[in-house]
Amino acid sequence: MAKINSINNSTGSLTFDPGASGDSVVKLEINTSSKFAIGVDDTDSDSFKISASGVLGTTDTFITDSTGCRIMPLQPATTVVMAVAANSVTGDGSTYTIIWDDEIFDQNSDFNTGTGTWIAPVTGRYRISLCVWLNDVDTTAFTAQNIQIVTSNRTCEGAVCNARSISSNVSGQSSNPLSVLADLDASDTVTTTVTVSGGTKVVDVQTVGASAPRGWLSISLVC
Amino acid sequence: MAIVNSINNKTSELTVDPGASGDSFVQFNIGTGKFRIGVDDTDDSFRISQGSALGTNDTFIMSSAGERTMPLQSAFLVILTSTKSNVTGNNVKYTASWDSEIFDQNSDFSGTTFTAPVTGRYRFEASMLLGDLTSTHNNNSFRLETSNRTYLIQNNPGGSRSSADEYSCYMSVLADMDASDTAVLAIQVVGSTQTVDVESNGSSDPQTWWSGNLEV
Repeated sequence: MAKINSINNSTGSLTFDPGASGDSVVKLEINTSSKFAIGVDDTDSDSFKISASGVLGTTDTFITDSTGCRIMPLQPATTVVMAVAANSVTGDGSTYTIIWDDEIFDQNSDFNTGTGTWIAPVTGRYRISLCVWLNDVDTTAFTAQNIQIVTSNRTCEGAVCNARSISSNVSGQSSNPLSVLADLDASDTVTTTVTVSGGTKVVDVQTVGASAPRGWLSISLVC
Repeated sequence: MAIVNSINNKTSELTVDPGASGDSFVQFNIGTGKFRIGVDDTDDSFRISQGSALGTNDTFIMSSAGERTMPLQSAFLVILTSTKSNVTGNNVKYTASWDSEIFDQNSDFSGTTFTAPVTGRYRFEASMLLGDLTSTHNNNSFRLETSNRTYLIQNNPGGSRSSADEYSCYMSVLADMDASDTAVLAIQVVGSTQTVDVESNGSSDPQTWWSGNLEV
């Protein structure tokens, strides 16, 4: 039978469990409450884990397998697209805040699909990748455009150009990418906007859904 | 003389060694899985290592200055070192065949294709320089084709080409991939004849490149 060696006092314990539970694990407890477990998970291909519970395999925050690849299943990370197009929202200089209403994934549940707003769960550096797909930019009147990543700390602007010149001959469609590593404080927000100018308000932010995304917003906590 | 406190059983499934070997570590052994975590005496970095030695097959390294690297994490950067001529322009789709790997941690890239080693969220970033465009090449699809979905960038490369008849497509996305899913990068230009090139200029000045990494 495997030994269990525990170092503890009245308010908590540090337990070294060399395989009694099947796992080889160190368990860290504070005020008699299990906080983290570190070790090799016997039931998951002997992968190394850091789990935010007293049990490997429950609330895993960090997993490294035998290939050396590391995943973090709870790390804030989102990619969202539009399920419903936003028709005739700009073209006359109006700024439209994009409502990304369909989540491909949203680890940590930080995105609000009703408002198109991301809320940073902790202070950190976040990679934000945006692509806005426009439709009906098909007259020469549309002489200017920009897209923006609007964070609480600052607004990052890109894709500034003659809107018509980059639009394809297919319904005046264009893709407009922008990417940045942004500083966000806990509870800071991120939204995205698009502005097309020079014509009338007929320009759409278009979509074909999650199976073939032509516009998307990806955000992840990098460091 | 170092004090050795070893907590283990007859199969040595868990060992705590506060520095007897030079490193201070906890060793986890179970089945075929072996991992060691601790501080590597050679540079005082904190490491998570496969096997039974810090400094060998390190999966996670945190320096004393707080700099974190993951030498075995799936990550690649591939480039074209030479121009691929007349590959599209007439609605033909060209799937890029990459002729140089700048790096390929975990060896997940081959030829045209990245294969996901594990289920996760992968960051992809790519830039492709098109050449020999004419005004009638008025639509393009720049495509990241993954097993789960295809991400597509669409513009008018001919209408917005430079004076050198070039246009650069760019994409960045965090994609969901399951273990063994694949990803390729392709370009499809429409509107005229098959005269459009995918350009590059050697490994020191890559004009067409694709990178990816397992992010979370």
